[in-house]
Amino acid sequence: MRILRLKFSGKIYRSVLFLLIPLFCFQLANAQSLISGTIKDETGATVPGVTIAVKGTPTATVTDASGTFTIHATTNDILVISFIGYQTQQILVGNQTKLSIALQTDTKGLNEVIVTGYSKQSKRDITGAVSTVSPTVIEQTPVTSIEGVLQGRVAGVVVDGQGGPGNPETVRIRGIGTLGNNDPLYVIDGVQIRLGTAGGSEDISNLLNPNDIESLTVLKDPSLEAQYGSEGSNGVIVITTKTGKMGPPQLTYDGYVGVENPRNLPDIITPQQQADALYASYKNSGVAIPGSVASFYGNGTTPVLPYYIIENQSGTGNIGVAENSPLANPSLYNQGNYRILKANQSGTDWWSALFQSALTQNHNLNLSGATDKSNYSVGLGYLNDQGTLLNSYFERYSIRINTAFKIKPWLRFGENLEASFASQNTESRSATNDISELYLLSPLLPEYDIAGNLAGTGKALILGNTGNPYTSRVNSLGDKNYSQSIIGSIYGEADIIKGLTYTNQIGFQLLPTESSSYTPTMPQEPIPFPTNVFSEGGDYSTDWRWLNKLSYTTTINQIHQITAFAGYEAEEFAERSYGGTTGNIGFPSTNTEYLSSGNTGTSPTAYVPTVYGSGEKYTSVSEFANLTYSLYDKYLFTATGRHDGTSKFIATGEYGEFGALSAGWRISKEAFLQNVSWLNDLKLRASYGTAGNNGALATDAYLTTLTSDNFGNYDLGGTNTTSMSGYYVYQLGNPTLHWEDNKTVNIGLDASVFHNSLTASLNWYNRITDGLILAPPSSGTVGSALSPIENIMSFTNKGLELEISYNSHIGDVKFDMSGNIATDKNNVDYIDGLAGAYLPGGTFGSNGAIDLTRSVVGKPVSQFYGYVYQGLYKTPAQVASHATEGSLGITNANALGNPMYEDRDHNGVINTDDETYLGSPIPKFTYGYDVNFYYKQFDLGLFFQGSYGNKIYDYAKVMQEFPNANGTGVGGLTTGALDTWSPSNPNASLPIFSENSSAINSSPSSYFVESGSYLRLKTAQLGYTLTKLRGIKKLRIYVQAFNLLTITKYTGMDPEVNDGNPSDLGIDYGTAYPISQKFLVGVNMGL
Amino acid sequence: MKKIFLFISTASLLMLGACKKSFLDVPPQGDAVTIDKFSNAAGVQQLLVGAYHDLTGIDVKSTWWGTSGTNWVYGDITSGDTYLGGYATSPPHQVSDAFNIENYQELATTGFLDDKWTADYDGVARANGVILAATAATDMTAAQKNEAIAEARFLRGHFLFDAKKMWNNVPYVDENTTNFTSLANTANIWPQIEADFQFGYDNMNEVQPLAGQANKWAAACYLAKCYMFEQKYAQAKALLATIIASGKNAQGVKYALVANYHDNFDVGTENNSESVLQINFSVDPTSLPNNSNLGETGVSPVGTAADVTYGYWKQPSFNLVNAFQTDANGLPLLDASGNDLSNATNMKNDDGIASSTPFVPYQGNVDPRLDWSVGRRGVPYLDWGVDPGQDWIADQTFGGPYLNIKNMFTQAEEGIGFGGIIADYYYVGNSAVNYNIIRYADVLLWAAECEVEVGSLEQARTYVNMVRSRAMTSPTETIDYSSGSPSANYKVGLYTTAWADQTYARNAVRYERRLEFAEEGHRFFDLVRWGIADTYLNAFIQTEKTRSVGSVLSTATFTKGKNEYFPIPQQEIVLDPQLKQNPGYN
Repeated sequence: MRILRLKFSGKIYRSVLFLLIPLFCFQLANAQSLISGTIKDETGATVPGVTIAVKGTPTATVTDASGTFTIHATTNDILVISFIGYQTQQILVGNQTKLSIALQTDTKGLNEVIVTGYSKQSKRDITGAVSTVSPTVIEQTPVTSIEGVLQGRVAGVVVDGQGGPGNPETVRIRGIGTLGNNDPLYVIDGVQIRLGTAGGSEDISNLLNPNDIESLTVLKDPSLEAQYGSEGSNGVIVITTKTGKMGPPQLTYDGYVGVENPRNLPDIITPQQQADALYASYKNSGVAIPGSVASFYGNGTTPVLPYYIIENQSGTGNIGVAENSPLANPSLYNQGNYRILKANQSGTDWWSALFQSALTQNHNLNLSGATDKSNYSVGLGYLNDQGTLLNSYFERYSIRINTAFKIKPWLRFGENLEASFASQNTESRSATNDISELYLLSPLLPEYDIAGNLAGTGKALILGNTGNPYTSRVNSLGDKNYSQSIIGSIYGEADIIKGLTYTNQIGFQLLPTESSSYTPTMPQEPIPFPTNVFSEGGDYSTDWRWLNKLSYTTTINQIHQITAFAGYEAEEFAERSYGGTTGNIGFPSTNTEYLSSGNTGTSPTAYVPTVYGSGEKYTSVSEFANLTYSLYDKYLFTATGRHDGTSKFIATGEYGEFGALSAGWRISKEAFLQNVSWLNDLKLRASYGTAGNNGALATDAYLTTLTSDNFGNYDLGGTNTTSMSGYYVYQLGNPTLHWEDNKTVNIGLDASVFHNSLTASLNWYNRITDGLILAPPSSGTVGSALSPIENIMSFTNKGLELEISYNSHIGDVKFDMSGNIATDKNNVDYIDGLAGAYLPGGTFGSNGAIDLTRSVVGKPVSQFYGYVYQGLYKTPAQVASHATEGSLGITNANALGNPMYEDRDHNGVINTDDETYLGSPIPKFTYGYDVNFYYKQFDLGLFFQGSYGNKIYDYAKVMQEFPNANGTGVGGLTTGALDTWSPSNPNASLPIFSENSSAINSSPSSYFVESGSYLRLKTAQLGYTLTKLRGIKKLRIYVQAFNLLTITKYTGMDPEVNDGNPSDLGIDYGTAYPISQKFLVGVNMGL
Repeated sequence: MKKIFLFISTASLLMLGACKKSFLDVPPQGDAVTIDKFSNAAGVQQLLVGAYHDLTGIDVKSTWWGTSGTNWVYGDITSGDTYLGGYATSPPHQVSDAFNIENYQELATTGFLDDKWTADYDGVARANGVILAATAATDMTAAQKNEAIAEARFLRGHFLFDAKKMWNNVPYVDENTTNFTSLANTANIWPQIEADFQFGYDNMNEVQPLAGQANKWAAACYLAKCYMFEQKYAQAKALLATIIASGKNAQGVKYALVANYHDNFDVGTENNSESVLQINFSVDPTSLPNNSNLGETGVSPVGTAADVTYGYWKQPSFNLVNAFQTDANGLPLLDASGNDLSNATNMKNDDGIASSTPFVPYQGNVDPRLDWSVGRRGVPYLDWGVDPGQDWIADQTFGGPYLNIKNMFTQAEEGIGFGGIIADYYYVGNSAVNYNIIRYADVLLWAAECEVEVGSLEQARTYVNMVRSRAMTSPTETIDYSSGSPSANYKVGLYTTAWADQTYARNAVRYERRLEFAEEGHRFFDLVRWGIADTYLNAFIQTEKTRSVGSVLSTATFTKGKNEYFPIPQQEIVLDPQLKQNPGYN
């Protein structure tokens, strides 16, 4: 052993030492002696607070104010000297008793190895735009998904959280590149991930425990994306998972428990105020109060709240009666068709009923280690996130096993495998959900009727627009949604000749999902089912991918460094979904709810069981090659080419070529900068490349498909009770379809100064997407068949991205900070004539018939479109002088208190010609700022994140501010809605209560457009690391708070409103979860 | 060893390359049904059923009312016979399109119109699909192909006819059309529509295996209808005479008026001797709701008594109800010149009278077809009970005191599944009652029109009396469902003396069409083809504005040369710049 050690020295010593650590572990401990020392930084100043630990033992100490320390160690011990911002050093004690150690600035940021998917590259040699999230951030950010890791950390990456346990978050890299699928490609341990397309697409957060991530790299640049050819254009997120590090087995535990509290719940007015508002609305409009409303509220000129509500399914609908009414005699109660409810005159707080504090917990165990012949890492994770929404949760168990073996010096095998089992019950953000329906639920409705059954809204609209979302949440308790996954790869690598390595890898993914739900008949709801219904179904997708790759690396004369790889890849994705429904189950319980347990019965409770099934399959093959050349470590060149074929297209579109060229110039290596001591590294780089996208394209978009359902069936036999099945064209095919084509130029500058304590990276890009895949609005002359999907649009995204990080210390307070800021300017360059002059998006109005956004040539995608709101008519003079608004139902007689819209064409009439662009949902810039302080054993981290300059269309106001929203007779008006215009409140902020819905709440206008800028203290964390614990190498405890502070002018629930649909950008449909504050207590422990 | 790996790697690469082409050849999976599977007898039949389905107007993009195959939005509420009705919220957003159409204020951007356009051309597309599949089929005889193609062309003719009468200037689309973004609408397509019906007349079977199928006589009747719309009275007269002499329904039963007028509107007596072409609605679990009369959802007061408050649209007008008044001889209130006097005073009604206040219905003479067409206070509403008036009306100030009845099923029929609340709250009133696109009474009254224009006034009178005679002998509402005395003084008589002149005769025939086909979606199109829409409707508006529903029509005015046809949907012009907007809408 000693001989071996003596053979090495200098730099080689340190690196090889690491390999030998386990060998020392088996040596007998020698007698201890007291070692003392001083630690200085690169300027020669002493550094307090540096941790000195004896490797493999609990013994550790820190330097005092004068930078000195003492510690007991034996001659064979290794001291580990660590300090934030500096390289960790390991020093063999040997015969030394007095040490003088010079800290060296951590240049890890530069020498960091970047995993680009098919290869690894030193960060300092990379010629494209790439960002990484450091392992420390991943370790210290207790989030449940990798999207959470990314949010605010990487310039040019925008993450929108949906809220809700287990709900996917949208990740957008460098803006909106297409109106179709904008999701980045995930590559985990070298395998591109397929999240499924048909029935049950999986979410990345179901598949991957963020705790297993070792490195996370975002490829934003064409020179890197081009490696992924047809899949690369939305950006690529390359993840490697933890592998064992050389040394004895290490067991770590990371976990937290916490509580999540919903915030900003709407403040709803009382039932009396709501009824008054409804009456005012009718009165102001000169409309008679409909008989059903009038009788509900006592048939008087002002509404009187009923004492009891009778829901009479087969009688008169919902009626309100007084306390002593014989109609409210409990003996009349019948849940099926005569329910009696005691009206809650003080108002039911439905929001608090649906949203409550929730527990969240996460536990991870990891065992890892390595020898020179093998390494292993085994992880076990458990996450349970009880959502704030009633009965919502996300629970995930995961196991990861990564191993690698060196069979011969030239032959390696290994595997990566993660299996997970996730289950969830949640509300996702769609056009309407249980949350938005909550706005339309009357507070007069109690939670239960007099018999103790859940209250529904009954048959008339007066208590709610549709059903009672509370009932729906309670009933969803037994609903199951399971997502399972087995993803991983097995690979072999052989070094064939020096520098030449052959890799053969098979990646695989099995992603079964399963869901079931039971729906009782619910006679209390507006749409009672004739029978109970049970449905169960699933989806099973498999994907295999076979990679063959040869890579070669060599250095010639220390001048020419050449790295190259070329490979071949084939993939097959297959998916089947299936399921069925049954009904009329006699004795529903969790034991009898099977598809076989239905009883078809006889009329009127007959239930015809249904089955469904579908499948998809596609294949692709690819060839690719990459060459990197470095001359004098000063001039860097990279070339990439890829040839892809896919079964999704036919004819000329079947194959596509993608490629990239890039170059870098390390200016700091030039002679004229050699004497600039503060400059450590300066690199200018430029790249150009192409990539493609076929996103969520169906596998048979080139074919015209037909379907048979009740839009095709017809009673040709004239029976009245049966029909014959008929087919009709569902969607027209387009055989000439091809990939979306992305061309990007990127110019960047990387700098590292002041002993590498300050690093910065600047990128400018111009990203052009051609041939966007989209189904254009269809011509009615074709019929009702869906238009063929076409390559129909072009976009440009231009932007600047800056990432800066700095670390230093003031006395023994160390700190590091990093910030990023990014702009992205989107422009629609071209729309094919097939689609008309613009592409509509978003929906507005009670029947969703009005478009809210337009994408038009010359403007950014999905601009809000509507009237320009100019305030309210406050005086008759204003009414007389303003353009007439007859098309909106505003006449001179009724105009006071109604909105004035700008007459943009000055023709004296407000009509659709006066609509215009009202703002952009796209931020001017987005940013993140992370700062961490370290003092002795304490650490404090603050992370801010936000966006600036974007607008939000607050659709939720329709439900919050106008009675009879969506023509329902109710609206859960918020207290702000009371500031409505009336002759006695002429300076009100809100228009007059009116039944004329087209005047404002069915007319898109700037009234609803608000600033969406925000700054959020996303996380704040305080940690304490305990040292000198017996048997425990590391123990850190921390507390962390999420969403402590948000600064925004936005009046809706949460400025993070995007659900991933590019044509719905920036629209707050009122379906968002209330923002929640989360407080955690966590532990990081290592044995 | 290393060499082995080198070999494997090379072999792997080569192998991948070798199988590449076929590897990418993946057929569509699962339920992806592609067009190439339909070029055979079974496929043609399936496509044909799909094409028939579009008679309902309910396709994937339909908006129910806006596309209803019964055309009540375009043919009834525009015609003076019907108010939109419903609630007076001003106007309810979801029916603002219908409200604008009622007031002749529709715009090129009115969504219903694009839906209707799409629905008509969807029918055309489905028919064209049948033609293409049948032409390419290899397992069908020439006769089978011919029959399938003829039925498809008949259906295509129907949808093009529907578009033609809506917009007049419409593009022609046949099975060879591929470029839909440069179709012009400047050519008159009557010849092509006629050709489709002529082909059907020449090639379709006389007797069909299925009750809902069209036969050659249906094609003949539709061809005659084309002639009527083109004012080709001589050709129409000859063809209609042939039909009256020899025409049979699809079961081979000779065309004849059914004894009971109401049998044309009853689930139990569909596809009868009077049926030329019906939309065969059904209430069956596999096609609910889209093969029921979804296009008139909410139009009827249906289901149990509690549901009555949900069915309130399409309410008959005062003007229409007044027209059913008869004189002592049971004849309409026409003066010597044939001018309509029926609206001089408003027939007694319960407008503004609460259901709890006693009310005696109008005691004067009325045509019995009134109570088979209109629900009114004091008269049994089929077997649902005696109409209580205001309690069953959403808002009398918006829709008047009357209810629609013709598309309504009986309570007994609901009990055996022909209607009711199924699947969704908003589908209240799924009805299996068929709608008559053409019935034999049409044929007789078209023939009468032709006789007035180019033939014998006496023959015209004979035809009209055939129709009135059936009205005389039909059971009345009261006899069917209540044991008490008649609800009204029913009195209908024949024209027993020769008509004075052509003008009187023309007015009498047109009046008869109004009574016979009240609420059946034809009236507006009749007014337009007679060239009297502007004078008639503006007069109607003036009269109606003086009545309690007047405020509803406050913006209504019919512009001659414009409102005869609807505007070409803006969306279609955007997508096909060759389309020219109709006069008056630019």
